Amino acid sequence: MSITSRQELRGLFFQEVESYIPEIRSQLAALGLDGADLSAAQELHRLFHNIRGASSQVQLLLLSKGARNVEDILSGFLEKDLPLPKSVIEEIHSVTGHIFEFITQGEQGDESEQLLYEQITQLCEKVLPEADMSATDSVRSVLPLLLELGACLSPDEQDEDYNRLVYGKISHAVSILVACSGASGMSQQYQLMENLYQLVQRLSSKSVSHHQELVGLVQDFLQFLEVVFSHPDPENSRITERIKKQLQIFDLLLSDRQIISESSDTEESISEREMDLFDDSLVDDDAIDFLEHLDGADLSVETGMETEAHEEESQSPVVPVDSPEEEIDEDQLILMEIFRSECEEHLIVINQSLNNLESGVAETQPFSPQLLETVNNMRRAVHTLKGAAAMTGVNLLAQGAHKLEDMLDYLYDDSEKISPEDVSILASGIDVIELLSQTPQAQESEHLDGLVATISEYFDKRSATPVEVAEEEGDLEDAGEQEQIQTEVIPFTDDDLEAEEESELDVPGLSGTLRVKLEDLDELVSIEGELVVARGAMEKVVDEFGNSLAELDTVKENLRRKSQELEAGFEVQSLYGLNPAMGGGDGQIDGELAEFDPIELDRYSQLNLIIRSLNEISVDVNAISATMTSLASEIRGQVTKQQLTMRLMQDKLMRIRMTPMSSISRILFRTVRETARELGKNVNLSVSGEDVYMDRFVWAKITDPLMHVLRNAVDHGIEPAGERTSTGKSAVGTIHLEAEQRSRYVVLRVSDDGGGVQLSIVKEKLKKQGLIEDPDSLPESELVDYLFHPSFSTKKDVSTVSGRGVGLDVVKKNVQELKGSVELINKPGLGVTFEFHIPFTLSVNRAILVSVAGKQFAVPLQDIHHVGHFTKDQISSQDGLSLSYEDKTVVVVNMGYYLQLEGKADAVAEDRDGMLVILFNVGDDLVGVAVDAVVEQREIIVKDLGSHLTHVHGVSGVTVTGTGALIPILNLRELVELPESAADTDVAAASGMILDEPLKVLIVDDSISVRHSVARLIESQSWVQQQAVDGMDALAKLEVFVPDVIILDIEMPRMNGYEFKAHINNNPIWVDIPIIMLTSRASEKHQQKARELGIDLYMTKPYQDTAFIQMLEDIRTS
Amino acid sequence: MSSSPDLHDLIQSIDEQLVQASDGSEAISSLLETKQEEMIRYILVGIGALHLAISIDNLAEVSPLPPLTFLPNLPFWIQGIVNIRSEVVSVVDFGGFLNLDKGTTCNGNRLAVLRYKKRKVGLRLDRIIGTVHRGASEQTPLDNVEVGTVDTSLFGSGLRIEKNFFYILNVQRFLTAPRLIDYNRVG
Repeated sequence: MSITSRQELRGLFFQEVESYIPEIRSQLAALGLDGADLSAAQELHRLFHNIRGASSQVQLLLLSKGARNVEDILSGFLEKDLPLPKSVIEEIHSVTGHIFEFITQGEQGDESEQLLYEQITQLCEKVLPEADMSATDSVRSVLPLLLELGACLSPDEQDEDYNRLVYGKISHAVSILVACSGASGMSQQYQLMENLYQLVQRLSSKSVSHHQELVGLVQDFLQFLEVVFSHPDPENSRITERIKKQLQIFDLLLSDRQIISESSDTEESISEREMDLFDDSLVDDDAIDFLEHLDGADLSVETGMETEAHEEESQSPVVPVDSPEEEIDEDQLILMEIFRSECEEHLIVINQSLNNLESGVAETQPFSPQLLETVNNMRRAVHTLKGAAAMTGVNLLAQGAHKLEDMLDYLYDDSEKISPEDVSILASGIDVIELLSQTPQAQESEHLDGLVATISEYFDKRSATPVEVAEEEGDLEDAGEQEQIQTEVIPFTDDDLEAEEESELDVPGLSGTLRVKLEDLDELVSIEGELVVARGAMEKVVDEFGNSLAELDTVKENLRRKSQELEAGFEVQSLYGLNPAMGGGDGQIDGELAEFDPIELDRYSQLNLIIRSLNEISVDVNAISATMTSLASEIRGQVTKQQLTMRLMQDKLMRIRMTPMSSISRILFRTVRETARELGKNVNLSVSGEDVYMDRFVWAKITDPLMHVLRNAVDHGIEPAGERTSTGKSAVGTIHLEAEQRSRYVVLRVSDDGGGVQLSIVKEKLKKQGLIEDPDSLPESELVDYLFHPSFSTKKDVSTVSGRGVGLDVVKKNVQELKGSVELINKPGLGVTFEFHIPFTLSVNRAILVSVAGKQFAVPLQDIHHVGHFTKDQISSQDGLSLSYEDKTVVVVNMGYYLQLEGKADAVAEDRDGMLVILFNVGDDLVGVAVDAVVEQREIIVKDLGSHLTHVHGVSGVTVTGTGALIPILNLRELVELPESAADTDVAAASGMILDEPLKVLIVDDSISVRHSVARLIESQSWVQQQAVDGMDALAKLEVFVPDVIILDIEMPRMNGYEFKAHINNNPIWVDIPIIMLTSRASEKHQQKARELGIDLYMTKPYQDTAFIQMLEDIRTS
Repeated sequence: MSSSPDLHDLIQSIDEQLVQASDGSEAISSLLETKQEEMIRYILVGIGALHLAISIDNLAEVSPLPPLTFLPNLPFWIQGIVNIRSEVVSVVDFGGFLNLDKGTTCNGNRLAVLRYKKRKVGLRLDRIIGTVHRGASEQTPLDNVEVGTVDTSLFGSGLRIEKNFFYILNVQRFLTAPRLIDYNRVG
């Protein structure tokens, strides 16, 4: 409510109460005469009741409370039918005087209201000392039940609907308590309840996500309320102030929560922040005691010193709104984020070194220079990681790294040999460090204890136990001195770190690096994508402008020719045959100058002047056309420049997002190591192509599938050592991961040297699960494909690692989401290879747009081997379509068939002179798909198919044109994999859809204005249109664009409408296309001629939009 | 989760206690009455012969159908995708999804985009009839209605408005239905 409106309301209220005063006094006078005057007592009760209600409305809550006190006194006597004693009448009289004084003084602030309240209370207490604790009691009576209701909230986030129900009920109950508090004049409580009500109501709405901590918070607040109301003075402002602050924080968090739940996935970080703000001390049972304690404390003014004192007390349960701790938390979060990223980099180096050690140390051996260098690299990375962890406060990680560094120091400085056992300890140590890096908040770790014990034991076995290790072990034994250990670690690293930082500071600022949040980068890429789309639209406009210029050129040429004809044919004649313009047709002058030739006297006729003027206009049009052509060429040049710059920008942005495979290889090594250890197998993973780059997002998405395949390889593929040696293989199994860049794809191959997939087991399982009746009839490739089927596993036993049949289908799904493909190559007895083809980025691409059955599709350029027009001589239709290309026979299929737009795979445009074919690779083979036309080549921005359609077979995404239209991007390789049976079934299903497609209209008219106005009308209906300037042009258009309807003018150059229709009547493909004749010729003769040619729909210009659209709509739905 | 019967008893006790606490005050009594039922706003739409009421809370958008882009290899009831302010949304023929009137598809030119959490799906509509505010007490359980061949698993109850019965679409259930999500498998 604004201040002005509140003042106005209060003004009205004062007037209202002022009007009651004479009446109150009159009733009091009547009661003074007869204390048992019931009607006077009732009227008095009514008047004070009105004052109570009205004052509550204008937020004069103390006055309301005072009036309620009087009302209660009167109620007491009325209920018991008792006469009002004189003392009571006198007191009410005094109360009335105070009220009158208060209202006649107008708006005076809270103090005068407080004074009035105290006066009224004192007077009331004289007559009814125990009056009016009823409202507080009432609220008190409800609170325990509310607490119980709060306890019904479920901490399980799955019970969201249930919790909403409970929140709704709490909200309802609190709303009543708001009214009770307000009505009884408890202003502090009123506000508190009102705030709580607003919050709980928001929780009961569907816009807020539910979380465990919110449940705890609500329960806590209900407890606080009980504390407040159980206090002898519920209006105690100190307590309520503190709770209000809590409510404000709660409100703030809830606002964050709402924003986050709508737009971000970073809820975890916010949760952490909330947990920090509402730490355990707020939710434990001590909270009530604390509030009691607060009551006695002096908290009226919070000085900086007091705040400091609070901070010193780590147990302080209340975090003020503007607490510096909040800022510290945010800084800490940022620091942690930076640390995580740095940690990643160090772990990459550490793991690379470990991989080198694992592959280089097969048996105990003396240190070679290379091995020593590897250990040194690892040591350096561990050391830096330790320093960073200590600085960030990730102390467990710092301790672990310190321990590991001790061992590396020993190996590097003192040891002469290195054994596989050493490497194994290092590997387990690195695993612990990785684990600790993922749980930076952890306060203790069994894994760390294990690592400390292992390394201590390691040193115990050797005589060269470092002194500091012994010291630290001693420290570790005493858990109470944990803090000391941390401080011991930190100074040790601080010096080194400072030195490192100093050296970094020496680097000039301009050549340094800058950490950028990934989401900022994503946003930049997204904006860049939008720019690409906008530029596409601009290019289209420039093209249209060019077309218009070409038309202008034709018109200009016509104008020039006609004016020349006029000049040559009629100018001289007009001088002699027509009245001269000069002289105004004065016959006398003619007679006087008759002996002169008109040319000699420049005696021009009107026509003569018009011809001259036309010539001048023609010259002007020429000049303007030349200027516009020059401008168009300049714009094209600018657009081309922009295109190049943007491509450069794209490349740069893509490069920034790219990371090498080494960024994930350490995770893969660990997967193999852990799985092998779990299964008691000896397996080595080797990796090549670690410098192959892909988009960071793509790596993140492909990591899980790779891990799954690796686990499968260890569990299913690699045989037990005994079995391997019996078949002549090495006891140690090998898995090789290879990455290779191929155009815009990265090929990842995971090969193992295990036993391969036993097809007999696959067949047996297929039969057993009822998936295939006769598996023997299937070729091997199809049998192997069933491994990607949900719930299919060849493993006989289910283990913790694999065997449940849940996995390879998910692998395939994940890969498909990346617009990639996965293939399994089985070599029984020799192993299995999984081959992934993954596009290295998913954002911007170049593609050709092709037209198939009147629809446009995009095909990424990197998928295309060749696009060409093949003549009939080059095509063979024996056993399906094929063509000869570079001495190879290439199978050709009709793309329309696989897109479910046309009926047959091998029925491709038999009546045309050859066909347009896109050739692409499927494995090592070339396959061709026939398309109707290639519309253009352009840059496309790749978008996914929305939140519902995660994967559509043969479609890798969608692109948006400058006009907002969507064009599907095809994955040709996947598209032609579709089993024919499936395509047949779905063609029928899709046939129903064809009618729903936008109407395709060809507009044939020589007038550009008519064409454009009709085109606009058609596009307003979301239909598709193309234009032709005359009959000849229309025939050419029909070759590439088969419309659902043609809008045809009669009079046009080169080929008129009648001639055009007569021409297409001879072509069976076009003859049935409905035609609307749109002409200014309304005569029956013209209409008759049209009917004779088979045109039934006739409309004269100017036309009514609605009638015209209706005519087209009828055609669409017919 | 706490047991529901206890909760109901508790709510009843609280309601009784609140009535006492409110001390019979007219203002509070009226507040009690008005707070008791939450009104929900529904949009009433028609798809073929089917009438639906969709809570506004579950609607992201109602608009004319933008140009529909066909995609291959989808079940017939997914008609394609549309571009709604740079967001790609699939368009579902709800009649087809429910297997109503086999052989006919919705050709309406209206679209309602439903949302649940991050998922958005467009329903193609033949007509938009209007909007109404209704409380839970005005909903008619489906047990009292002759539903014929309509699969009612996606409807909790309905609203009788004038002569028509509008099924209240449970958007959450629809947008998490296995048939909708696993469109590639279930068909």
